[in-house]
Amino acid sequence: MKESSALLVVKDLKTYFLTKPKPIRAVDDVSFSIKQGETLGLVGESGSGKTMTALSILRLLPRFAKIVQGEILFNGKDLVKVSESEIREIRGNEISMIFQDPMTSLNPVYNVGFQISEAILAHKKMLRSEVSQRVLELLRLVGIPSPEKRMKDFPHEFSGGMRQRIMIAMAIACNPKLLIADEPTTALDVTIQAQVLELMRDLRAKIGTSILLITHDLGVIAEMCDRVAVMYAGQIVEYADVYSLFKNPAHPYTSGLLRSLPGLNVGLGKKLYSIEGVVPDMINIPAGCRFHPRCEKAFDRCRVEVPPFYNVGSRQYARCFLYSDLECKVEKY
Amino acid sequence: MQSREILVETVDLVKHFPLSSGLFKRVKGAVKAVDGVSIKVFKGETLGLVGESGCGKSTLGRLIIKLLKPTKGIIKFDGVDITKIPDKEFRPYRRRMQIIFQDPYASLNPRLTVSGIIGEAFKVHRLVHSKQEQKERIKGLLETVGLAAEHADRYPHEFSGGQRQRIGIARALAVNPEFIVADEPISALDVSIRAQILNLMVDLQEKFKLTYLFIAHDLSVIKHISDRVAVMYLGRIVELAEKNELFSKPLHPYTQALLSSVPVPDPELRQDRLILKGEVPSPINPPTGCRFHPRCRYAKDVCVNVVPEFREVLKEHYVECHLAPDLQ
Repeated sequence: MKESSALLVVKDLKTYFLTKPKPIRAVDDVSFSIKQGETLGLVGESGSGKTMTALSILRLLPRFAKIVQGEILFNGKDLVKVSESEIREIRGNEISMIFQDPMTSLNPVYNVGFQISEAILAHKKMLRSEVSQRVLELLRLVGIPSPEKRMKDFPHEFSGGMRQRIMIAMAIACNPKLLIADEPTTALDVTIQAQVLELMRDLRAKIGTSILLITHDLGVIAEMCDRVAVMYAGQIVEYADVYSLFKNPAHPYTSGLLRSLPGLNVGLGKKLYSIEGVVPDMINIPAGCRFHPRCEKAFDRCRVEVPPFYNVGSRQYARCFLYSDLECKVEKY
Repeated sequence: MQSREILVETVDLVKHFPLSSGLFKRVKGAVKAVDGVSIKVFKGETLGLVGESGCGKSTLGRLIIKLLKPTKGIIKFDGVDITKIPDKEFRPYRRRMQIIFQDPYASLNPRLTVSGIIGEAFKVHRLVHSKQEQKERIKGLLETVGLAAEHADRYPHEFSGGQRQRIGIARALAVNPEFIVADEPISALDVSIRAQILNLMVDLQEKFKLTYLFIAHDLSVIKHISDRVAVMYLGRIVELAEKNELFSKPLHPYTQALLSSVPVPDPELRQDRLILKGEVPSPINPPTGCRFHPRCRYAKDVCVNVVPEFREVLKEHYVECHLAPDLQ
């Protein structure tokens, strides 16, 4: 992966909650990159650090969380180091974010037209008439019927799917280069999810935005992404293009997840493959490989040593000692 | 389904939640959550009930085990009409039907220990005669659902989501029920934990010869666990068939679109989807005729004006659609 072609490069990112007596390592040594026009999926279970990774990029972290190490290069600029005013210039302008719950992320006391125009005026100088033109154009783009009337409506007058469309309109108001979508369809029904995913695909084709798509739904990943990073307990455990990941998952966690999905398994009748045990508590992260207590293939080395990444396929990397004999340990990918 | 004995049956079941407002709480219409549902659940089977949020699937589940009073219609359990029988006579039936709730965080009393939660059922139904016996049974139940005996004295907050759902299952099993309504039992759980709970439910069904009404919005889960599947839309069952039949030959245009909109976890199967236009209309004023007609791409005049009949189009395959036989 050449860094020159990448829009966003995240290198060795560590974001900790600075709790006593010891910090919670919510994001621990995470690296990935996103190219122009590419969609990267970040998949993992709740508490695996997906959202904290996204919030680190925009520096929207909660009070006790701090980026303690690492670089976030956006167009060559390190977002960890830029000043608060510089990051405000970027937020909502060059990088914008769609949140999971469209009910709580819209302001209930302003009409949606005003909220979208706020996003525009934060970054662009425009005449009032131009702004309302732009708002109409955006509402049309995200498929809100009769936008002239609807822009005066308040969030509670919209359904969940429509609200998510408004969130998307707000996020793309300034033609961002990178769109971070944090579980954009999790709160929606399947038929509405299909509509919103189609809208995102359309927009990607029209504006050429790169997307960081965070989800726990492997179906959505398969549908939308070019490359995928699988997170487990604060770390990326596998990083691959979407076809290799689903065809030959390398990390036991990834393959376990895929095998445990109903509808795909064969032969076992009504029994599903299941990953035993529970998602680890982030305060007491297991030593060695974080997945070893739940891993069927774990051996002694996994229990003591933290595995590095191994290059297991042409563009596939896994943090797992099963591949240590491949002589393809990589420091960086 | 060898023996096709009916365990639960509903006849034209209706539940309207009245909407009232003003000083005198005048009734101004109703949310028609369940609007004429007739289904049968056979002994030993799993009937999957699938639909989008607000379609009335949870209301139907609760009606069937009488956690809600129906507005109209009949519920029969094991051949007996239980719709109107007095509470005291209903109690033995209550023991035979149980529910597992969606949210394992909200459905366990935080001030009771696990043995308190499970033991309550023993007390209510007078199933144990000594403290020792109660302790033994709770221990046995916890082991059955994959927890340990020492968990009995802990409180719900000490458990993870998956473990709490196991407690919820143990509570349901405590009274040796025959019929369990599982209302989205795994949708609040992490992906890697879902398979564990699904497997547990399958095991328990075999062991205790349980009959499930399994409510979910996730089609892949429904496909995995059910024997027959009922699809619900705006308070009505629009299609009902044996699982493989329904998934391979969906006849109702809503079922077709629903199946098509599920993202498949395989990037090589990316395909053009049937994407439904618009959204589910409000159950306060459902559309005339066929309730699906405003979103249906095949809709004709007859669909706007005439309510379609729920009829057997193919063998054991019921559809509520005027055009169904021609839409394969």
